[in-house]
Amino acid sequence: MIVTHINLNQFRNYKEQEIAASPGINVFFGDNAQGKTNILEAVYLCTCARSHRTAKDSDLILRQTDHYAIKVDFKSCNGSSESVEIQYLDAVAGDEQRNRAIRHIYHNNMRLERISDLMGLFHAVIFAPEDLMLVKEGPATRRRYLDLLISQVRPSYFLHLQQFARILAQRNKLLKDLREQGFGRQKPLDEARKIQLDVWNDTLAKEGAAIITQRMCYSERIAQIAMDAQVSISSGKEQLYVKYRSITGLSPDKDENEIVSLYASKLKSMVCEDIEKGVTGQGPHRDDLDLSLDGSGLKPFASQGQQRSAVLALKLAELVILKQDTGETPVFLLDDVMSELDEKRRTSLLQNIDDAQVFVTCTDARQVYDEMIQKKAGDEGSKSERPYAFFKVENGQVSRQEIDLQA
Amino acid sequence: MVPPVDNLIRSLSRLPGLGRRSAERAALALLRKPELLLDTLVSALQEARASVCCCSVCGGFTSKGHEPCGLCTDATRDDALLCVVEEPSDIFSIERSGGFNGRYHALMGKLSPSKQTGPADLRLGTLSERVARGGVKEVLLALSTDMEGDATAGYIGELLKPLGVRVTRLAFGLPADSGVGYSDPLTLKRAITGRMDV
Ligand SMILES: [Zn+2]
Repeated sequence: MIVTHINLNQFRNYKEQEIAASPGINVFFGDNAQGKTNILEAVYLCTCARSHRTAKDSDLILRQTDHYAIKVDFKSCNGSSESVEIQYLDAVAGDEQRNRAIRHIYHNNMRLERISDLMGLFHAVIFAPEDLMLVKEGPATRRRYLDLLISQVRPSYFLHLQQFARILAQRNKLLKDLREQGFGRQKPLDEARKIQLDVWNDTLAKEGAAIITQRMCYSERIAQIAMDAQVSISSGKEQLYVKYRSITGLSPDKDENEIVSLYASKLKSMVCEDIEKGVTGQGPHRDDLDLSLDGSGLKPFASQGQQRSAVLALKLAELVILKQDTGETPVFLLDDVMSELDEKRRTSLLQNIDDAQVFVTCTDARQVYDEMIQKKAGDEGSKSERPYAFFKVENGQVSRQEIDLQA
Repeated sequence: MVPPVDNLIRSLSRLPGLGRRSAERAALALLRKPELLLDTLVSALQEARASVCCCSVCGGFTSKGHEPCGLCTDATRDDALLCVVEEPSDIFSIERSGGFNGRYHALMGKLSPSKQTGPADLRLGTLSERVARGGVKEVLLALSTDMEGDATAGYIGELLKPLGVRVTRLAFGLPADSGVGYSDPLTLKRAITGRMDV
């Protein structure tokens, strides 16, 4: 996929900005906190309507305004021109028509009814400092990584996620009601209430199993690709293991129907516990993607460098799966990672760029030119260039600069 | 806006399908032609308020003095087939389809803990009684295809199990005259699960 234009309106620190992109390497340089990352963030938002930095849309609005709009025009690999546009209007207190935040998403200028319709239209992979959270933070970050990846290649997965969340809310509400009525280990449920809870167990198990099945399948693929990537990044010194951890008793040979009954019986066996806690204790909303390096848990044992390699391996797995399943080369967004990765890891990353379009932020334009734009053709030393564009970013203003670095 | 006009618009905009703008249009039209529109609406509303009630047997709409309703008393309808719906208005929809000739039972909602609707808030007791009285061979659940509909269907299935009656549910299929390409993934997935022999 090739982005041709980016439009930002009241987005982060941009009032109004249009950027005409090069089909090759787009370099955004300038001092820190001028708005370089915001451009990459906007492009990434168009893949899944979620920022890689914040869960709150209101964070994305230019200060002292109440809405933002972004639009990305792009060409898919079959040559068709498309666009994705996201408009977000914040809630306004005291205004009856706008007491709730509104988000409109457009594809080719046609309004999409649901966020799930956006999934799979536009593909980008972002490499950013925030990626380190994958190994440093709790299971929620890793579930999010899995969920966003699977949603992009299997849009119906996103619908299951939404459905699961709604059913979970219903079951949790019922659990709390039952707790208030004094039920629990001391006072078992009567027959009618048992049936009432059972129906929610069953509907939850069905949706949950659909999610677990997909996550298991994709985790296995990620494990394979990430292990290979890690071997090449560490020159064969380290083995990265990735494994989806879910409800007990789950094994990869189980099909969706078997998982439905496994999860349903798990829910039934935990009813007393769940009522006492007022929440559902097991299921996809609690699962994790276990990461370990040569058998030891990644988080407590690995060095900063090992963590970076593991994250890079996971992100490369995301990229490979996106390519394999969609047949499209996603747009690369490299946010300030070139300076953070050592040469070995940079090479592993750049090997995967091939002819993809790249948006990269940096403080040192020279390094990017040498490593990404200038291509060495064979050993003869004859040099060629990929198409590129340099943009200087200063205080919410982007201007294209002609810089000659060939010398 | 003058308070009574604003009040009228607010009341209208609470109706389903009417947003603020269409409520405004409706209100202004009513006020422009008071004799033609407003008076007839006022008397229709008053009459509805005074005489419309829900049938004690099926829960559908009927008028006072006509209880049980016409559908419950019609001797040509099949007593062995009982169709369970969520809302009285669903009875209209199924009648309009012309594909059903049994009796009806409206639940007045569906199970939803988050909306504080439990089994006791639905007409489930009267449903068991009707079935227990005998004569019903099949209970057809015409419930919505969302999770609350699924949960309600599951609950009724369990509730009626001891009574030995056949419980069925409407098929999940594609909309009539539509192609596979126009269906959303969830509809398609359910249609595949509920596929049938040709
Ligand atoms: Zn009736």
